[in-house]
Amino acid sequence: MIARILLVAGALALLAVGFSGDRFWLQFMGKAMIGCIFAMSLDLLVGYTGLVSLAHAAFFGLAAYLLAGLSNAAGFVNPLATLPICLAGAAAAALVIGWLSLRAAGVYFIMVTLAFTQMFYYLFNDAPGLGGSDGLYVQERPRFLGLDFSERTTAYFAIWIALVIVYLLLLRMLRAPFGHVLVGIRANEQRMRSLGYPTRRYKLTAFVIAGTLAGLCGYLDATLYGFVNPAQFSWRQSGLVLMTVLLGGKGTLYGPALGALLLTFVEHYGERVTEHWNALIGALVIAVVLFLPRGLAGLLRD
Amino acid sequence: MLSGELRATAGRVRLRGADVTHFPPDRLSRMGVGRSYQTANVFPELTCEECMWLAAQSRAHTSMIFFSPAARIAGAERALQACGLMARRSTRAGELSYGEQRQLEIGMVLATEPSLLLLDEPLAGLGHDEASRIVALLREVARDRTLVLVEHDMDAVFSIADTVTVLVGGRVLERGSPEQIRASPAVREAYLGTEQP
Repeated sequence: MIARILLVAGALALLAVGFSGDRFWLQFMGKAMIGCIFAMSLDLLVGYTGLVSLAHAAFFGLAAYLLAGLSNAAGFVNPLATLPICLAGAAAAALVIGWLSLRAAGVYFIMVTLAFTQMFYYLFNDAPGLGGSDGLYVQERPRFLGLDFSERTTAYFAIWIALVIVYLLLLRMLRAPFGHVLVGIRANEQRMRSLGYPTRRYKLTAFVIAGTLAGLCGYLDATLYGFVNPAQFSWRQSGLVLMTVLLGGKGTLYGPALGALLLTFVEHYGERVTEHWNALIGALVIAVVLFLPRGLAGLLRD
Repeated sequence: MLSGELRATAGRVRLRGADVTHFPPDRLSRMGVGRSYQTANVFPELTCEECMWLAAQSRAHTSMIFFSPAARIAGAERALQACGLMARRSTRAGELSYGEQRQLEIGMVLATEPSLLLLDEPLAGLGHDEASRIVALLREVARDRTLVLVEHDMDAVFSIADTVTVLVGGRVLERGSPEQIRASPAVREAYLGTEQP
């Protein structure tokens, strides 16, 4: 109950930031909310299905580059066209990567997903036609019906709406039979198979859904910043979002979102205190894992 | 091997005339082969009700249902009733006693409405009372289904089985009705020889 009130209050607070008109805060909180969606989508895999994937950054980066490509090469600006294409691209990549990676289990699955992320990183980092290590500008950002998403306020509200929709969508999905099957797979996959569930198909479906949502984050990020770069594919991004999920509390959905908000703030204020702010995050993660095994969400629940 | 978890290196497994040698476990389960494990193999973090729901839901055409909430299933309720865990429905499976976990285990198999049940030592590690409860349940189940049971508890085997196959060192020693087995000199020698006067 307390968690629910805090959740609604948090969503309204985030909405209120949108009316501030402050350029810094709009971008800062916009980025934080994208982090929320990113972490929640990974939680579907890590927390609910029991799949630790390091491929999440690949889908993020792919959709972001797709938006840049569509805008720069084809002049597509209508999000009704670019959004479905970018999501479909991320989904297709997730289907292929998931189909291949899910043949492995446990730590091998983690390594295969990591290998795919690295492949994408070097592809986009080294190919000059794709902007190389400098990245690309999105020359024309999405706009339609008089809404220009290069306006930070407009982009911010779009991200807020996406966050609310994704949260409700995932919540609904987890309460449906599909979500229960995923939890069963996490708890005891062998038993699920002997009960008659083709478990790999369910894991692949979850992987594609999570990958598509990661693609949505990439799309929103490229829209907000108007810039894409290969660092978005780096395994550091994949690792960071995994850390966010653990920090917030896996298997809770709102926990990882909370973790993403916290990490954004720690990163921002940590940078001012010391250039070794990464060490701060490391210490924070160690402390949470040791003393709050259920993450920040565990605090709210007790 | 019969339930599809181990690969056969030679030979054939047939189910109602169809070759199912290389079928995966989930496919065999959907064909009506239910399997329980030697050690209680449940979902420790889920409640009895949720475990049973998963078992019964597996008979639905698909569980790729994303937007309508999971509803109670009559089959799950029946199976909870049948295995005697109605009162424990909201307890996590991991917190049940070992005997209750075995009951749940068999209940889950029943909820998949199998026509053939493979039970691997359903009485292993149970106390006397718990074992007799399971035996009663199995006798009930065996009335309208085929049961293949591997078990060391001879009293239980004789009270449930129609046909007994005795294995020694991995080879079939004798096969017949409980009476025939009881009377068989070879079985007596192999299993009971030194103990029986």
